[in-house]
Amino acid sequence: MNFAYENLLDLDCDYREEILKGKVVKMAPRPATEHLEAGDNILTMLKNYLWGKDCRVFSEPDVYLGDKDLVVPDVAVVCNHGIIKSKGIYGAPDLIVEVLSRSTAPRDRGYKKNLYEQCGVSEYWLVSVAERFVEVYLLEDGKYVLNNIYTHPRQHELDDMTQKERDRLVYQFKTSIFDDLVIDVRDVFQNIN
Amino acid sequence: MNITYEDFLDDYHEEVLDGKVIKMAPRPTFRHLDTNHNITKIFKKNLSGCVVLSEPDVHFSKKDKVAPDVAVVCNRDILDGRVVHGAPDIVVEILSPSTSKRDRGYKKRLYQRYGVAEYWIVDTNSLTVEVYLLEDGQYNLDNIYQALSEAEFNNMSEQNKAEQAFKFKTHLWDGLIIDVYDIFKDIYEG
Repeated sequence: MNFAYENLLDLDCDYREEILKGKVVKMAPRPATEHLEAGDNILTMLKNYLWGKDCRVFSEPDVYLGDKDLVVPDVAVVCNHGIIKSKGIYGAPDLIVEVLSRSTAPRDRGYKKNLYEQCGVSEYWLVSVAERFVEVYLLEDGKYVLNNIYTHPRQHELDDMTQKERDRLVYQFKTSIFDDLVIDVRDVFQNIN
Repeated sequence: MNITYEDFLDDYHEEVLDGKVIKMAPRPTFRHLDTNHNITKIFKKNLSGCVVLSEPDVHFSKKDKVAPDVAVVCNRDILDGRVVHGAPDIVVEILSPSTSKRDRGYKKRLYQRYGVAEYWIVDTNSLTVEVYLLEDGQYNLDNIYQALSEAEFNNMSEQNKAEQAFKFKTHLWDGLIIDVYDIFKDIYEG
């Protein structure tokens, strides 16, 4: 079965659905507050940085990839204005962020990761609120390579670590798409317990 | 020179990755050890001639020597009583904060390259088991099995509930059905 974009839109999907391989997939019930907050924190950082610049950042946009996939990532940065339409993004964003939840983790690590890789999304973040990490994949020769996992442990976890382990923690990192934007993983989990 | 307790903890075990000596994490947590024991015990129920090893030294080459949490080896020719020389049939890594980057990055690519047919990434915080199977030389995520609490399960949509699988098999044995709740059964809390 072939899905044209118009058909996708005709499916009368309510907002929290995705279409993967032509199949309508109900998204999780409303995400937990912490999930939304982490997404908002990332959105705010990117929005502040991009204010007055060329690229744009979207929260939960409809992203059409190929003719069988409509995804709704938590955050997406798009630098190619040509693919931004009022109904959604038609093509690969430059950066996609998915905040993991119990019900979506298998897709975020499986089908969607492969999809983003194939479609040429150059940077992909997986964010875990429960475990307070940001896992960064960069596209190299068409394949995602794990760049790093940045963790912001909770106080009791820090207490359990040795000094050497604490010294090894890296909180700040840059994205591959902007030279002068430094992300601090502590800001991602700001005020979230 | 004074050796501190932290030095002692830090020097426990070493791996060699891409020719570089890597100090392993300090002693694993009780949760980590309990999970290791559970998995080892489950595998031992149905070995059919294979060997299950906890934290074995596995040598792929001079440049890559690893000590995964659990390995299943069916080809006894690659065992010499102290070291596994080559690819186990199943490798299990239990994540800890200081190793997760390597477990998901370098070591995953290493196991893929040397042909480890099945690779599990186990997370004792989220109580999940990610199973990767080698297909045409590439790891594909087979599924993520999650030991959900009753509340977590009840909060899911009907479709998500239907998608959850709590029992699964390894590629090795048809007769062994693994329950994800057994993997995390009675592990240390605190």
